[in-house]
Amino acid sequence: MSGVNIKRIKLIIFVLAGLFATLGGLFQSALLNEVGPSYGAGGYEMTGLSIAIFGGTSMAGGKGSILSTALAAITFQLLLNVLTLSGLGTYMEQVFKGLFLIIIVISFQNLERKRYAKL
Amino acid sequence: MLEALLELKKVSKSFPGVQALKEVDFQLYPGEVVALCGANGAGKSTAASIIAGIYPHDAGEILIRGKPVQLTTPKVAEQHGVGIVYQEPTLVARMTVVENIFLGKELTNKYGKLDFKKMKQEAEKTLEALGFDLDVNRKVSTLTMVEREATEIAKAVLLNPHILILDEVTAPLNQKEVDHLFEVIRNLKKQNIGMIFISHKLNECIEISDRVVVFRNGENVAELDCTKNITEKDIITPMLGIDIKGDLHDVVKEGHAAEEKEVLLHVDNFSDEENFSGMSFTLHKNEVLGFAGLKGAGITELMFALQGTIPHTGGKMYVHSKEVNPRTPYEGIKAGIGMVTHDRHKEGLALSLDVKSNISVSSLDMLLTKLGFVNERKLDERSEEYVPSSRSRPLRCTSSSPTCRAATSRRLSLLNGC
Amino acid sequence: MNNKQVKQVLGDNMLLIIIILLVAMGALFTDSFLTLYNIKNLLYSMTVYGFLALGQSMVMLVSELNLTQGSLLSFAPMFAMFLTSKILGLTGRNILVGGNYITGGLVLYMVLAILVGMLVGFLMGIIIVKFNVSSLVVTLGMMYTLGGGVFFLFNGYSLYLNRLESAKWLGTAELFSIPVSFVLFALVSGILIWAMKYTKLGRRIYATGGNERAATYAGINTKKWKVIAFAISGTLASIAGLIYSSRVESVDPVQGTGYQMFALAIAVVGGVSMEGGRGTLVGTLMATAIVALIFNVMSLFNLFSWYQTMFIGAIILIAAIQQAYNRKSLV
Repeated sequence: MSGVNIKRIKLIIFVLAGLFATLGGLFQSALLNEVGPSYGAGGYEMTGLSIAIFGGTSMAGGKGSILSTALAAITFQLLLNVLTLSGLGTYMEQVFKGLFLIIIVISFQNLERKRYAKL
Repeated sequence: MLEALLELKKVSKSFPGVQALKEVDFQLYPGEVVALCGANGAGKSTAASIIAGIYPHDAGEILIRGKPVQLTTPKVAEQHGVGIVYQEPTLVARMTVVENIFLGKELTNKYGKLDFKKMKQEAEKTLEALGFDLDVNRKVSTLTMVEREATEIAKAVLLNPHILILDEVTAPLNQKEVDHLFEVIRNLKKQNIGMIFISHKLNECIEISDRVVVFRNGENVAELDCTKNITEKDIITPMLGIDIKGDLHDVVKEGHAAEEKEVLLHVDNFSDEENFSGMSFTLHKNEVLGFAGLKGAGITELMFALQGTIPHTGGKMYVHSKEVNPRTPYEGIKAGIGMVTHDRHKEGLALSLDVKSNISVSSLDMLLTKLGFVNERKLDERSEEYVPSSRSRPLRCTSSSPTCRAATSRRLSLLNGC
Repeated sequence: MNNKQVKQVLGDNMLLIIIILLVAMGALFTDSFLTLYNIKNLLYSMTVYGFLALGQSMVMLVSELNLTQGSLLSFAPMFAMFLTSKILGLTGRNILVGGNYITGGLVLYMVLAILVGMLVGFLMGIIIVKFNVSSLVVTLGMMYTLGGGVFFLFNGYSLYLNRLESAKWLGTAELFSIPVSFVLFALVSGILIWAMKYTKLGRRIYATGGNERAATYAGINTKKWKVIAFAISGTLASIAGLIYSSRVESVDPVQGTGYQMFALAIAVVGGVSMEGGRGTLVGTLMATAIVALIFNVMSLFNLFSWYQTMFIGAIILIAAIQQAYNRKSLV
């Protein structure tokens, strides 16, 4: 109603998303020197979602920024790397991802609420 | 002296950023209808919500039959004999009438199994007593507005409340239905039920109520006795806080200097398949053209078609004498037609963005610098012009007046070729 | 009957028609479909998927999502076994033989597994309503946590139940040739469906999902009912886990991976809307039959698992489009 072509924008977004996913795949195959049908399996879609949420993108829509998602991706990987190097084991990575996600999303909710209350 | 059914003593309530009620005093006696009038944001619905137990009040006392009460939840209010018909629909669309009437108060037999037969009987009895004829097994999503209103009223009176709040219940009704509803209200009066009638239709308030209480900016500013022949102006004056000189109608006439006027929009035999046909009218420069009609008469659909949101099948439109045929809102805006919808929150604004971002939505094309980036300075100027002193906080937290302005300015900014 | 009426009848009974078609396809095109062995397999897979799908449906009906259904399938039995061995170990009895073979503690293990499922569901529900956070994110996080945590319990090793005779009972025993697990499934779903239709449970759940504001104003504690929905889904998932483990005679840390997607798909096909308040458990049951039949028939046709996944994906897409279409014509 405000003249914004919603369908076109949604379409463009999905195309961009597919493009970025493909780029990710290209990078991964370069890193591993291999391509195979099961290389997309490891729950990557969930990881991507988690990082986006960690970067403050709201699932209700309308809120978030590319910069914070990018920063979140870097931070996330760094934390993961530290974890691996500390020798806590690979299983810990998953547990960490999970607990981290829950804690982050709870904190964000609380921060939002406090920000509204202050006004 | 009759004991007051309900009394509010210096009740205050504030939400983040706004003081909704300031030390309000209010009484309701058995068998009387008190109209509660006030502009948007004056505190009427807040007061009603507090009495119904939706929010707790911050300060002051609430007494029911002389006893102080804490109306912490809707159920507690219900137990104290408060019934309320809300302004916004509170029905679960996919459930039936009887399920909605008994929502939260279902009847069960001694084993805990729902007693459908008894609920059906009770629901039918209640509706009949109110004078409505409705098949209680129909899903709410199939009902007309009147039938939904009837269901809401039946739901409110099910537990025989002593205090009944009616918030804008006449909004979706035509004159005959309003008369019927007033009959129902008069019947309830005879049963000594006290009613709070909230409505912006002042003539109705005067007709049905014994007293009119006026709220302004969260305060109780006036109380009028309806038996003393009051007029709408007597209510409007305290409502707005200004003195309207002369007759109401004179104010409107001032804008109508009959000079040679430029024609902005000419519509000829405009129609679409189902909602309207043969619409022809002209809109002049500096003119406000009002359209009145009931819900379902086709006005909203006509407006949407003019702007291009829905298609039309026949007729022509001329803007500045040039024919236009907008098929999308974008084309409508390009042709110079902007629309601020009724449901501003859902259809007009991005609530999590601030005022600046919202205003720029439609007119982004015209705010760009040479390199294609958004010209922030120009945007700031524009938004300050339309909605002064708007801080950059999410629209969700502002009261209704800035949001209205933001929605309107969104359109205006575009049309002004900003 | 004119065209519109035919379409109406078809639309109302779509699921049943698909079931009949699938059964016909299986019976006509393969010789092993109608064998007792195959039917038992079918019923068994319906049981496991069915429990998960019912749990998912309950959560979806209150407008939430539960992505932990799959990970609970492994976590509940594993954690229960962990607790059992520790508790019984305190009394001096060691049920863990040769590192991985379980030799006792069956009853305690089963009871604990169900409790674990209920508690995990309860916990997630509490977090979601108390902090007002998205269920997608919380259950996602919990899925990771449980999925990773399960490896810590026994250092990533699977537990074998084949030395415990009674452990096989739940998964393989039969009542007049019908698997006991299926009987249990039929019983539990029957109770749940009855409760949803004839007790306050159903009214509360449908109201909470259908119009949360209306429900709250009517005095319904929507938060409580959301937590209850989560607790039920956790319990059902743990029961499914017990049945699964009993059948394969082992408790594997990776069992059930990806099953939450099947549960979601089944619920969606069965007509349960993700917005909440729409759909019935009966629809979910029929969808369970459909999905189980598809997997069964496909494997009889020797189609490998990735075909099955593709097929499920296609079904989800079709069901989603169908739902959108229905919504437009209804409101």
